[in-house]
Amino acid sequence: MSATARRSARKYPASAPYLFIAPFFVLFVPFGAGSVLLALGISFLDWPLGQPPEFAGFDKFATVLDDPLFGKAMGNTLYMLVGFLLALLPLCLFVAVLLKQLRRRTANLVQVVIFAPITMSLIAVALVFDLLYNERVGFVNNVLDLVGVGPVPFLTDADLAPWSIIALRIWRVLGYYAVILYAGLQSIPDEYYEAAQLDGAGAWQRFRHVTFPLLKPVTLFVLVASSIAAWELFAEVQVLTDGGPARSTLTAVMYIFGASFEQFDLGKGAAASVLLAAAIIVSTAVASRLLRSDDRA
Amino acid sequence: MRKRVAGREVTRSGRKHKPIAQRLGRGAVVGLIVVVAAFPLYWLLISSLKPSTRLGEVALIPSSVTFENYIAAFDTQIPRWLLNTFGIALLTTLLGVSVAALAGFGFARYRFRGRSVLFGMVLASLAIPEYALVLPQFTIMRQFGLLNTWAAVILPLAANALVLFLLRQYFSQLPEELFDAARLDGSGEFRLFWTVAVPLVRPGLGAAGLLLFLNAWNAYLLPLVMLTNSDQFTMPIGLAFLHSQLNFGIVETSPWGAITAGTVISIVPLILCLLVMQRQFIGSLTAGAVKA
Repeated sequence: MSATARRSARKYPASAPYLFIAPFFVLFVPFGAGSVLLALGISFLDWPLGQPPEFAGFDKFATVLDDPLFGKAMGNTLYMLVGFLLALLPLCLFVAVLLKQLRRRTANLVQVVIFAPITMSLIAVALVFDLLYNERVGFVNNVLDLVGVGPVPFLTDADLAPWSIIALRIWRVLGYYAVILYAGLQSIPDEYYEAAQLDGAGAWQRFRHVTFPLLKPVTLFVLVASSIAAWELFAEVQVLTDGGPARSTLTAVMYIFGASFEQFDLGKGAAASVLLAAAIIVSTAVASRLLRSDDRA
Repeated sequence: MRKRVAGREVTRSGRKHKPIAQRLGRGAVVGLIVVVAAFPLYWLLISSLKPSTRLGEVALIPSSVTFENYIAAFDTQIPRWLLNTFGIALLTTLLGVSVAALAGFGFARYRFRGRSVLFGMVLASLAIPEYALVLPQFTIMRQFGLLNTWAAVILPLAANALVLFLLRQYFSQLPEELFDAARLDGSGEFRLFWTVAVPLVRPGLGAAGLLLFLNAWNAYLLPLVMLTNSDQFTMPIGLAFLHSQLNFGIVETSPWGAITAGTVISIVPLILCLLVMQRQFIGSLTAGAVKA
């Protein structure tokens, strides 16, 4: 009895848990939580890099919101985000359903191949696509040249460039999300399909009434994860178009980077990042509210 | 026998009747997907093996193969960038796995004052886009004179909330009896962690390590902001820098050779890991998704 009492009282030194979590928080306090507060703080400052900061209230927010370029950048980002999602979601659902119809071994082999692009840096992917898109050395244009067509201005036409960027991003993540959805598909019990088949449901009806509703939580995860990534579009655009032509691919993160590290206006950069973060958090919260309401647990 | 993929049992009985044309059609679609996924990588490899003057040639099998681009790459700063990338990724992985494993164990195995607030803070930080944190992280590193050092990239990347979350899940699945037994033998708490818990969560540590390594190896914005001296560049920054020099030059004098060879070098380590480990690799990178 006294042994159990002592055990429930304490079986380890009171400091033990704090010692375990301390090293993580030594890093997390400045670079995680602290940086969030710091970003908020800097957004209220007039702080040209290398000079002492001064309090500026909401001035920097006003500057950013009045700047037509910021609106353009947010608009471009949203345009590419929507185009990206509309193309990505049906494609990766299609690939996942297809994977499930294959023999296990074939499916595993295909998975490995389509998973490769996600292991590459965005820069590597951008450079690979320049070997396809480039007007002088690009594969596609050189093939078209053989048949006397083109060149297609993949990256130098204001209407086409956003879609060239979208295609590149889809190539990079399609396999990754298809594999996630495929894992979700495998957790749907066979019995549901058997029952549906007995009820005379065709392939489309089985997808519509069995696969799709049961896969909804995973699909919503894909939606949230891929849209956060799309909000943060930056690296491949910086390398391939540098926001051009005619600022048609200028993105929100690129605007922030320009304000902070090219104009060295830290307050403006921070204000723009707070606004972008707010947009991301709001859109994520809306999507994960949907996700949670679907969770039966 | 465990049943195979959902839906198979039903279709299998009907498989005999499935028209050949339908199966051929599906095979063709699968083939197309594989080609679309693999062709850009194949083309990169081929391009890196062609003399740069023939970069624009469209032959699917090059008429001559040369390693001159790889030799040229080693005359640039690429070896240095490779070393930086490898050092940063390795140290980020070691540090990140260590702190997340300790903290994951702490959060999973103990009840203590402030636990839910602290863990809630870590979880909430997952909602903050990392790009919003680069600017404050830059001002901190600048304040401490750490710009252009590996530490400026390693420290922010090692504090990975997703990895902590993942490892906490692994540690909380262990039965408490294991620890009680070891405590009766007089083990201290750190000993419990190191000799009882850690060996049992090796798969989790592997997944965490892979996530951290891949993240650091491919990082772009953070090193771009922190590392401005070309000696300190990582591969993604260096390759983007070489590419930025293309626009003003003509093909013949441009560093295309170093770029294609350098890109191949930068993607080979992780693609090799994928080919060797296959299921574990894919499982590790999708673990965060499936658990969430």
